[in-house]
Parts: sequence; structure tokens; C-alpha cells
Amino acid sequence: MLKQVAVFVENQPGSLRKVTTALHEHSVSIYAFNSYDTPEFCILRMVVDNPVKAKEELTKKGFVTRICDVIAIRLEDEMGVMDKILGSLMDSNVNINYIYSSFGYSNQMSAVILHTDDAAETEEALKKEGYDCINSLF
Amino acid sequence: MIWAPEETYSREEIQAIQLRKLKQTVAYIYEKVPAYRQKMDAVGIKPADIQTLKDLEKLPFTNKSDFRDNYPMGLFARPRKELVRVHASSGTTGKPTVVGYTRNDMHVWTNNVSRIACMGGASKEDVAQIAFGYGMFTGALGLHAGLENIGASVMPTSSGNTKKQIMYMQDLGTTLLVATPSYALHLGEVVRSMGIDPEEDLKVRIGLFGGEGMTEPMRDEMHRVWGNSFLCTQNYGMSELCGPGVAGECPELQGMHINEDWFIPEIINPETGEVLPPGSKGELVITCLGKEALPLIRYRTKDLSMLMYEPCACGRTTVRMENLFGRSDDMMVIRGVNVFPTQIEEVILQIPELGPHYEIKVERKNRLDVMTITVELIDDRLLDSYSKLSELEKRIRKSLKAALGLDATIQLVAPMSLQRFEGKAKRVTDLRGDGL
Repeated sequence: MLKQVAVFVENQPGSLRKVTTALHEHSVSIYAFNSYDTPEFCILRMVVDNPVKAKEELTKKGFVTRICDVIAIRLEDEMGVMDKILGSLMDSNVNINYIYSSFGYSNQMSAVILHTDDAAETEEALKKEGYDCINSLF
Repeated sequence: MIWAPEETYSREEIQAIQLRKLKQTVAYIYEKVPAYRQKMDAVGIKPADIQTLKDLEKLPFTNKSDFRDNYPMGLFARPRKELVRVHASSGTTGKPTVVGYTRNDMHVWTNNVSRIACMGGASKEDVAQIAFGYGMFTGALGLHAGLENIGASVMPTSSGNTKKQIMYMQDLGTTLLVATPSYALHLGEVVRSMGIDPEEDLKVRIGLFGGEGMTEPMRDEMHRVWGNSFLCTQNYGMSELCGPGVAGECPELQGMHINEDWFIPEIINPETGEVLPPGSKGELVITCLGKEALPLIRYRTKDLSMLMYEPCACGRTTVRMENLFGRSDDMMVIRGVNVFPTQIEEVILQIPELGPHYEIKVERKNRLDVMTITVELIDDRLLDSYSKLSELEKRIRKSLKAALGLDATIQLVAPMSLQRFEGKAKRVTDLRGDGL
């Protein structure tokens, strides 16, 4: 399992930047992120190398910040790999709340990051199917 | 501690003082203030017609517009050379309301504020930080004089510069804070965000709040921020009447004791002007007794309240006015429904996921009134999913609908992103133009 940092961000030019500046100032590295097109505000979700510090610094800056568990699986560069993972989850009757991916860097493979209602249970199910859930992206 | 013996007089004693002073005040204003004499003449009332307290009802009202019409000093009963102080109200539009004091008025005012300060728990042991804006506003210098008079150590920090306020609070051991409730909450939030626990690290134990009303949920919020043992009371006044010193809460928190030997309160129906019996809600009307520079009879405050004559457990016998229900001129009519900002505040403060600050915007879209309420999100658990956020939004709308009978659009923003106010909070923006 992996820790994800979620930040409440208003829908305005420059508001994501305030988050990245705060993280950069305190040397926190971002390994994956996503946000969607919602009308007034969004939840910026990230995987970073130091979630506790990220939360601390962002809270100091006035951001509402939340840490939660997500699951990450390394993605082999093979045809059909996503289809296989999602098939396994379907077979285990796991509902995915949201899914995004990390970027590959310095010879590391990318990973798929997913959030379900019960991360421990999902991880157990994936293990049975032979997947190796990772605890760190770096 | 009770500052003046008059605060514990029997009803008969209080009424005897009121009647004596009322007769003097009416004779005085009739002689000295042509604008009010004309009003009395217009309804055919002479000073000699005032023989009982009930006769007060025969006298014409004084309105805010009388100050405008007689700007700047047309309502004054004394020449300028006899004034030792001039203040002005924080008029948001047009000319301010100018008020003045003779030396004797200053003495009465100061002692009336001392009474209110003692009611709110102040004593000569206190270190009082006055975070009201100084200047022409009566609040700061009024509390300043009243607290100095009881022997407290007064620090005139004025409003603003929150970090410096906190530094003085820490370094000089402030025990008593004078501020508007919204600024006191803001100060408390900043104190907490600096990692200071007010209960452990500061000595602040009393809050004397004024300048704007404080609802009960706001008082609860004040305890959350400043600690449970924080004694937080509000007091009432307005510059036309003298400034602070008209009424204040005692630790029983059952309404504000009016300094009845100096002010006669009435509750009227704001539509008809008819005097309502004790226990009725309506507009507060105040007659000032014995004021030399600016005597005022039946001043319509526009504040909505109720009078309670039962003696209080604190030992005072003076009438209490219920904490303000709202101002008759703060009332908005939205889709035909009367709405007070305080009603909205009560709903918002009862939702723990939200901060205590809010803004209300009313506009007209396609001929329909639309109310948007902006609130600060403070609970990180909502970030688990968008559905939790939209569930919160629905919950706020539902509670508002139950309280007001009106639907509102909710806008969630990040904490500390709404404007904080050092004086009176301005939370309502009405973009409808006609104000209706």
C-alpha cells in the first residue's frame, strides 16, 4: 500500500501552482498526480516521497490536506497489461473509485494507482492473482 | 463585582429616578434643541404633559435621518466650546453621524462602561488589550476609559497587525481582550495556527465583545478557539446613545443588563411604532437620560430585541435586553422571505466541517433572487471523495432550507480564504440594486 496526499484546491488560475511551490520549497518530490475538471473546486491527489511533511507544510499554508491509502502496481510495458489487471479486479468483485498512473523515470517502470473502499482487502485479492503491490514509487 | 449601587435598586427606585430624569430631559431638549422642539410642537406635546413614565409613549421618535438632516451638530444642546470630545459613527454611506460629550457626559459614559466591564468579569487586576480600531469610533476609547477607570492596565493596541497583537498578548500577559467577535475569532485562529494553545500558553481569560452581535453558536466557536474557561460576553451601545455602556452581559449570559438609570428602553412594532408589552420581540427604542451635549428621546436603534424585567441571578435588578436577534435594516427579503444574516450564521456554525466565517451574496437571475453562501471547508475527511463533498453541500442546503425556507447555492472555499474583518464584519453583498 501507498500513501496518497489529497488537497482541496479552488478552481482558479495559479491555485495548483501554490501547492507545487509549497512542496518544492520543502524539497518534497511528486511522483504521481491527478485532478479533474470539476466546476468550483477540485481535489488534487498526489503520491509524494514524504506525505507527512507534505501535509504539515500544506496545512501551514492553509490547505485542507488529507492522507489516505491507495494501491500501486508496477506496469510492465506489455500489450494487454491493464486489461489483465482490471479483469482480475472484476473477478474479485472490487469496485474502483478512481484510478491514475505515475510517470516512469530513471529506469523505473510506471505504476497504476487505484483507490478502492478497502485498500487492504484489494491488496489481498491482487496478491492472490499474482500481482506484486508496491509500497513505494521511488 | 457590581460597580454602581443603581444596578441593584428596586423597580420602584429605578422608576422614580427614570421619571425625575425624564421630566428634566424633556424640558431640557424642548428648550435647547429646536429640531426636537418642532417635532413635539407638531404633535402638540409640551414638557408639562410628561407626568408618568407611560407618558413617554406620547413623545415623537428620533431617527437616524434626524442626524443626517441636522448634520453635523444640529441636534446638540450645548455650544461647541462646552464639548470636550467629539466622535463619529462608522457610516458606510454618506456622512457619518457626529456625536459629542461635555465633561459631565464623559464622566457618566466612563462609569457606565465601567459597569459593563465589571459585569463581564473585569477587575483592576486585568491587563486589557483593546483591539477595537481607535479613531472616531466610540468603541475603543469608550472601553479604554471604562477599563482604566476600574484600575485595569489598558493596552491600546487598536485593530489590525494580528501578529503584533499576539506578541503583546504573550509578552505583556493580556488577560482581557476587547474586540469585535469576528476579529476575536480571527485572532484565535491565528494564535492556534502559530502552535500556541491559548489555555496553556496565554493568560487571556475574558473577552468583552461589541461592535457587532454575537450568536450563541459563535460563542461556542469562541470557546473552541480560546478555551472552555474563557468568559466571553458581549455588550451593547451605539455612538448616538453614547457609544458602549448602554448594556452588557453578566456571567449568567441571560441577556444584557441595561443601565436603566441612564437609558429607558422600549420595544416597539417597527411597522406601526406601537409600544409592545414586556416579553415581545420588536425594535429597541432608547431614551437617554441626563445627557448634556446630545440629549436623545426615543431613538430608534433598528436593533431587534426583547426586554426581560425579572431580576437576574447575578444580583442586578436592571432590565435585560435579549441578545440581538438582528437589525431591522439587516433584514433581507429574498423571494418574499424575511432573512436575517444571523439565521444563516447559526446554521453554518452548527456544521462542524465548516469554519466560522461566511459570505452571503444575493443577486437576481432571470427575475429570481439567488442567494449564494460561501463557506470555508476545514475538515480534511471530506477529501476522501467528491461524493463526500457534495453530500456536505446537500446537508448545508437542507439545513438552510429548514431554517429559512429558502434554497441557497453553496460555494466551498479553502480555509482562511474569506476576508477577515478587524472591525464590524461585512458579510452580505446584495447585488439586486433595488435592495428588495
